[in-house]
Amino acid sequence: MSSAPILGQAVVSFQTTASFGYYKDIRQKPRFPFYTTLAYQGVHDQGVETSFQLLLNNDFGQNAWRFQPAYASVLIPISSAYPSQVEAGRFLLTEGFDMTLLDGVQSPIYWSHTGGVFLYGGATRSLDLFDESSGAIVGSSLFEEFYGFKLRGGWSGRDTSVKRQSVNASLFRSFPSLPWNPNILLKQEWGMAPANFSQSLSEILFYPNDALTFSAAYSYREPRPYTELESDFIYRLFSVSPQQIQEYALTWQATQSMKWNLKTKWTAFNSGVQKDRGEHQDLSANWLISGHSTFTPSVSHIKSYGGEVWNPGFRYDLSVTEKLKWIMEYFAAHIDKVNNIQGWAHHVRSGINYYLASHTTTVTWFEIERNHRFEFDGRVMAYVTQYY
Amino acid sequence: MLRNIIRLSLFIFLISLPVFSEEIEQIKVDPRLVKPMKELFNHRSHVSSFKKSGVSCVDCHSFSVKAVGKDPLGEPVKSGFIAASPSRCHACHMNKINLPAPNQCVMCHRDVVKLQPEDHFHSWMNRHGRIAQMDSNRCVQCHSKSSCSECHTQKNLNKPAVHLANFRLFHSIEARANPQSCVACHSSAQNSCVRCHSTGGP
Repeated sequence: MSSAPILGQAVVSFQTTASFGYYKDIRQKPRFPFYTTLAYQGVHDQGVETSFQLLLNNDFGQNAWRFQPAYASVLIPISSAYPSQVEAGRFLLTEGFDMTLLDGVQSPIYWSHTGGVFLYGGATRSLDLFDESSGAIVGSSLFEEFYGFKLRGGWSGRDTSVKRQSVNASLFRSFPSLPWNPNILLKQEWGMAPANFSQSLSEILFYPNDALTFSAAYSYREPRPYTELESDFIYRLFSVSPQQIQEYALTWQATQSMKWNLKTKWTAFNSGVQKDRGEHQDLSANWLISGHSTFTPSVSHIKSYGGEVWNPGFRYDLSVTEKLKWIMEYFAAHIDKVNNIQGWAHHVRSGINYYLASHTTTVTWFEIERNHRFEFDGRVMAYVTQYY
Repeated sequence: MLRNIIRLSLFIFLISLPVFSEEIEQIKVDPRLVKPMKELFNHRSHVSSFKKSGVSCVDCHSFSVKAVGKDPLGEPVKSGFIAASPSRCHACHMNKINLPAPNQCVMCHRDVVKLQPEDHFHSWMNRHGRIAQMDSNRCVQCHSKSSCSECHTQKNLNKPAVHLANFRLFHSIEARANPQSCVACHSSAQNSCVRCHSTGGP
């Protein structure tokens, strides 16, 4: 899809949110978190786009102001026929198995509606904005579609704590003429010396009819193997090996107003002490009641060598009027941890969304928790959002 | 035990598919508009924007409709036939005017869930990253580029889109069930773990 230019005018969109809360921490010290966000998007002459998301946070108890640009970029179209463009600034980069913030430049250049080359380079940043570490990256990918097969292959070179080069390839194909309309996705990444490693993902998804889908996936993941010497890397706290994951998911639209979801995942890895196994299951329903309300009960089960948790609960959305919407959530988790902490944890959240005026919404939330740590833990949040 | 129950449930679902499929209603429902189309779109207020943007009459209205009858005195077509398709709104509002979804959608549509593509229907929270890495250009047909960062980097809102309720109490169990899931967003133990646990967290 090409981004056609708008001549002689700019279209801008602003969105601001602010929230403020109060709670006592584990040491009974009062905390006053204050979060604000300013998001902007603009489309200018010749289809040039500018955008940013700025976060300004503070804890008034500690007077800890923090300013973080989550996203800030200028995007310049370089072709009127295809969506070729150059983007500079801070934005998300998703290549291979990695997703990171990139302070730099990226440019998809198309030679057809389906094919082209993607070039990028700059300094990477963790998605966790509190993590200040960064490193240089440069890379490229080729992508094209042949006979319905979407193919993508690329190379990247990093200069972080350990230098690493890797190549990746992926394939996606939908078969709408076959029974159950299967979709397949295959993805592979190989590390080149001195960081030899491989990661892979295989997924098949079926759409037997409009009401039923199910999928199966297997992945072999070795996150950030090039930093295996970093004891600070969270993955290394729990696993010293690559992990193998089996995932199965099923979605069933039983009626026009009732949908069921079932997901289950098994993970195998070496925790450093022994071969370990984790499992995670979710069962949920989404029930549209009389067109004005939605009831979403769910239950999750997680089991690992750290313990076991059952987390049943529900969410209820009610459109009281065309402008007023009420939301209510309640979850009660039964937790049984390896450190002998055992018991119930309760979580209640409720809020009101109100369309104050054209392009203006307000959201008011309160949240209460009760568990083995807090007899009462509550917070209230209010957002006013205006967008153009 | 639980594994066997889930496998049995899966098996029952699959073998009952032919039975249920006959009773299933058509799912696709036209998204309801917040107002009638006549109230949503005001031609007079759009004229100046059309002129500035170089949008001509034939960009929206097709005047090539022919009479119903073959003879010269055939019944003329009704004026409604040259009315612009409602989807013409998207030519500007989804391409050029790049408000983030779903804000852009809720300007006209009451329920954005019904606007989702078919593959968003199935386990999309888990799968969207895989598809986005394959074909990110497809995402920006509806979503602005910055909509990724609204969840993935902007963590100061009360939108627990990723973590379940009560997550603070059982994240140690979940981390040991799937260590790789943590590092999609958090990398450094110093910043993500120690920041809370060093100040008195259990």
